Amino acid sequence: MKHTGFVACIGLFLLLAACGGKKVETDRERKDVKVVEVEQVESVTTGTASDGRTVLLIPSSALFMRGQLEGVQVVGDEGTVSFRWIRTGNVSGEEIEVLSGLGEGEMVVAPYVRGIQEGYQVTVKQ
Amino acid sequence: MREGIAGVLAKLFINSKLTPLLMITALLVGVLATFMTPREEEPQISVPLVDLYFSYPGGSAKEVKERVAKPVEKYLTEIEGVDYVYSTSQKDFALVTVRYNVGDDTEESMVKLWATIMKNMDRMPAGMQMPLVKKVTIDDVPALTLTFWSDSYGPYQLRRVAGQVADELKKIENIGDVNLNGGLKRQLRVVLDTQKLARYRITPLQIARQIRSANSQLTAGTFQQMNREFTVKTGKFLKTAEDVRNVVVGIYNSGAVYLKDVAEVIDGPEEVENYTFFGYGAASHDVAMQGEYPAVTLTVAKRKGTDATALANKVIAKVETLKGSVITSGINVTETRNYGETASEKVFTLLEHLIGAVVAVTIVVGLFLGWRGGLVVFASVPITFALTLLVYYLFDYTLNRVTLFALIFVTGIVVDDSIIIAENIHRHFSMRRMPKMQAAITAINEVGNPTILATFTVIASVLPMVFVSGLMGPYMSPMPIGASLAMIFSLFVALIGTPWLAFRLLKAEGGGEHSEEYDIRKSIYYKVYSKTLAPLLVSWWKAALAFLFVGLLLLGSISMIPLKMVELKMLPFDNKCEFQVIVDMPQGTTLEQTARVSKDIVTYLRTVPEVENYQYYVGTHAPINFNGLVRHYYLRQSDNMADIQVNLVHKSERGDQSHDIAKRVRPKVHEIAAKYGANAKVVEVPPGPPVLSTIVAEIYGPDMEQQIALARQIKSVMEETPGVVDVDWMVEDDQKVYTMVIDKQKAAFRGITTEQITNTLRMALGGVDAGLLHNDTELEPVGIELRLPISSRASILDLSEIFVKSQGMGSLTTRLPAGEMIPLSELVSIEETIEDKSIYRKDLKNVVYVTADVAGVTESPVYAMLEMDEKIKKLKTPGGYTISPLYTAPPFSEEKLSMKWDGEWQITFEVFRDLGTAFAVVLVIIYLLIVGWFQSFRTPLVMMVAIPLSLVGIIPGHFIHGAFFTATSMIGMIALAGIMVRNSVLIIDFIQLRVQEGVALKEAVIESAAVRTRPILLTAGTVVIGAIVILFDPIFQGLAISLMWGAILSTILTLGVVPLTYYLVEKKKIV
Repeated sequence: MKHTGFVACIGLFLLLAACGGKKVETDRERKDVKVVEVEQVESVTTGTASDGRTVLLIPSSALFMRGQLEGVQVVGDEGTVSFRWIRTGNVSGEEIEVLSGLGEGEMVVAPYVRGIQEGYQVTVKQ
Repeated sequence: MREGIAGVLAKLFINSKLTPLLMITALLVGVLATFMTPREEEPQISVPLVDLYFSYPGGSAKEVKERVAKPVEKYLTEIEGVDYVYSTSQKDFALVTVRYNVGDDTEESMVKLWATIMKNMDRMPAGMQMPLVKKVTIDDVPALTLTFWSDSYGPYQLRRVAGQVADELKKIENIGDVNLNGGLKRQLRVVLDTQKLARYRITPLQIARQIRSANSQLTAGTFQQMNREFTVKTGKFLKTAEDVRNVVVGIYNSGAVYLKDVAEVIDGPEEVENYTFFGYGAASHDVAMQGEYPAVTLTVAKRKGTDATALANKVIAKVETLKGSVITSGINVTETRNYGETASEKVFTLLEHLIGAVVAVTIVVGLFLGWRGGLVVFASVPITFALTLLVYYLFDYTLNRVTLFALIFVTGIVVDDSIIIAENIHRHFSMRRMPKMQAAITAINEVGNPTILATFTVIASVLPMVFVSGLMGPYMSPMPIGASLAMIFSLFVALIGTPWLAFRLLKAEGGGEHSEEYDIRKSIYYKVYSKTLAPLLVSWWKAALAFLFVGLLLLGSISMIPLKMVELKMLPFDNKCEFQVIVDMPQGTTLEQTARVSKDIVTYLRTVPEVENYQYYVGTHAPINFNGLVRHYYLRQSDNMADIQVNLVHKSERGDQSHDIAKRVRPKVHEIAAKYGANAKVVEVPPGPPVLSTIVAEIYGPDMEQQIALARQIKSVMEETPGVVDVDWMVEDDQKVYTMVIDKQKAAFRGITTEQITNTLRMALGGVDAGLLHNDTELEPVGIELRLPISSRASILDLSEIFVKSQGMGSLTTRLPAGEMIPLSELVSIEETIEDKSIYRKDLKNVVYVTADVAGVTESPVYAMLEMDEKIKKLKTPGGYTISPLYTAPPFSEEKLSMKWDGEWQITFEVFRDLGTAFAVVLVIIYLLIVGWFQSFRTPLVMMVAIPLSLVGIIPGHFIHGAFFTATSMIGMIALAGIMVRNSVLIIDFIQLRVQEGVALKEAVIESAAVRTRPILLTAGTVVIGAIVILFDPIFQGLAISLMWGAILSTILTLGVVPLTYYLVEKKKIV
């Protein structure tokens, strides 16, 4: 009797050993996308600086400061907003030179809208 | 009957009142030791690794290599104990890394290094600055990191707060280095206005000189007056921005020109030089926090040999008290790494495993010997472990993942001695041939001495692992030491404690006094043996058939390895709570562009369901881990580099292991990176010693061009090979540089030196440090930096706005008057060139590295390497010869192009080589031990027949579980050799005893086998149970499988094969 017990015991352990770990579902539902209406969306343009260099320009109003960091709200595919940290150079009139961080033709929210968070969708007011 | 040490010991202690006291003391001391031994994550590895930074301003990469790196390497390799010397030569700069032999004393190595450098200093080129020597040790790895992040504060304020906190934390005892990653420092920026400078006829160089000379203060001396001594101080340090603004930088039209007239002085954050952000992932509990926040990470390292858990708890408690005062509201502090916690968790998991194993073993023993027998065994295990832990404590070991492994490893083995003794006492009690006391002594005499021998065979089998060399050595050595100690203690417990307990607890089987006498002939084992073994003993062809069957099983099992049914791998990945993504953009990428890519990657990573939080560091490095330490990730500080640290939820809250998650995210990360031309690697914490990369191809050859050409081909081979991921090479992309060529003649005519021009340009673009602000309250030094504003730097190529002042006759080249302002555009012309590429050298040979990782189709680099070998052999070389990759040593000559595999392979090779050698030594030692005991040359061979039999279980076992045959599997196999021999010893010793008592050989063989089956099954059972508890640990899985399947199969086979072989061998001798 006790030997069958032993055999059963070993068998049980082997069974346990052969089983894999169980999966835990960690998927979370995606939150609904928030849509915000903004005044205007401007594109990054190229211009010529006073010394003849080709430069990238955006409206100065698009620029916001986060502590010491300068950023713009970039409007990507399907109007989704993401923040982008950039470095700026000379100001010329209403526009400011972008030294790095943006590419030509990208769209930025100008003037920038306080309270917009990344992942929001923006539409332009008609 | 001979009475050995075992019998004497047992007689001495079986009735002693000291025995229980000894046992209780051992237990208490062990429990104390468990709590006093420091706990930490990584094992204490002493690998003296020293970085030497040589600065040779103005040298091209090739020049730096020839003048600096080469001579330095040459003399460094002369130092005794130096294992490897690596060097990287770049423009202006060389980094030489020296790695000493593992286990060398760090201080001694440093002294030798200094002595050698100093001795050769006169041979170094003029212009080379004193090298910076930095020792890198495992204790530099932060054990705790706290990330300060905020919705309302910027990186500058965050760094100031974190700095204050760091200052407070440093007061905690046993704390090591406290550092800050990310954030912006305070700086006094002097932003020059080129137009104003021109108007006041002042040059940037002049300003720097004026600030430096204004920023001085000296104790001039003392004078006496009226019996008193007075000290005189002169000058005044610059203490505030206002002081700096009011520095007189020149005279213009008989009026003083102040710095504020020509420049803007800003006291505040330095120019943005890194972007560090914190954000929550999909698995976070703070779902409301969806954005990403500027962050600064405070890292805390611990002092050598101290408890990570205790330190982490103290630091966290301290930070808690600082909240509200230093850490103002609006600043959040999140724990982003806590090795103290993980170490503690591991210790407690181990304790759980141990308790689980002991309980399970007790139950099994109880089934065989009754609950009293179970109790005897149950009591003896904790004592053994308590004593082992005590020795760990006394030997200054820490409880880390390696020492814990040693304890887990022996769980199933340490109970065996007690089981064997208790079982035999039980058997003798049941036989009722003698009074209880005498029966106990006889029982111990019978098995005691072979048990001692058997214990030593097990020790002999694990001890040679101490000799594993290289980086894997420290990972291996605690194991044989811990296991050997535990075995010795278990032996003493079995000989002293167990008899005492057994004598008092055990009762004869069957209960009543008048029940039948226990007879082996009536047991089920005997019946089985007389049915199965007996026919084999009589008929030679049946025996031959049995041997053939076993032989086939063995062959079949071994063939599973070449058939790739079981794959070899050094170590599998551990289930960690973190991984990193290392982003490299092409050289010359701006910080913002790198930030943009990192951000894109992070935006994807945060949606991964298991991600708790992430930090990314652009332009600076993430807090390093042991892997990063060896890979020099702490040097990653350029604008084109970013590190992303991803923290996962606790392993109990997720189904997938970290390795699977890393595998899952890799393709998407690559896809995003490829969009921007970036190279992104998903880096996991390796379970064993870290290497440069899992797969490293070192390409040697006669010249750089050819090496790079071959590297390019090999790189594309890697990219095409399925399962090989994260392919990269250490060859920089072409980077455009502008060289300003100075017209020497013109400059001489105008009275201007080359030095003036280079310094002016350096100041304009890179900025120059003009001293420190002497502020009493600041924690971090505040530098005064002179630089052109970022807006005018962009137009630097238009040099007409930057002036240098003629030195006139002072330059010794012209007679023109000094003071004329000359625009640089008159003196220099601009050329566009390509930046020098870094030159890598390893052990005095030029080398080009191609690195890769494996994941997915192949998990083991060896198979990927073999697959790539065939393709590499087909590559064309300029000389028309073929490249056949080397495996063990670098090429003897560099005349031809050649390639060597390195990385994990190198360690794998060393470990399996050393373990293989160890195994051979083990076999010899076991043979010697048994020869000494049995005084026969043949008997030991019979016993060792059992050793290869364990393979029959081990290899198919790995196949069944779909696991890799790893280094831990190998360790299991070696230990099994000891266990199998022990079983054989016990059987054969008993056969000999019976034969001496006059029983016929055939009868003795069957009887002994039957008698010994129960304890052998029991011990095998405990090994199996001890192994099952660690079966789900990714690293120890190999060991568990080896022990489990090896023990089961080889026990069954041993019980048949050994008695049979012994009979066949001895038959002739007796007849």
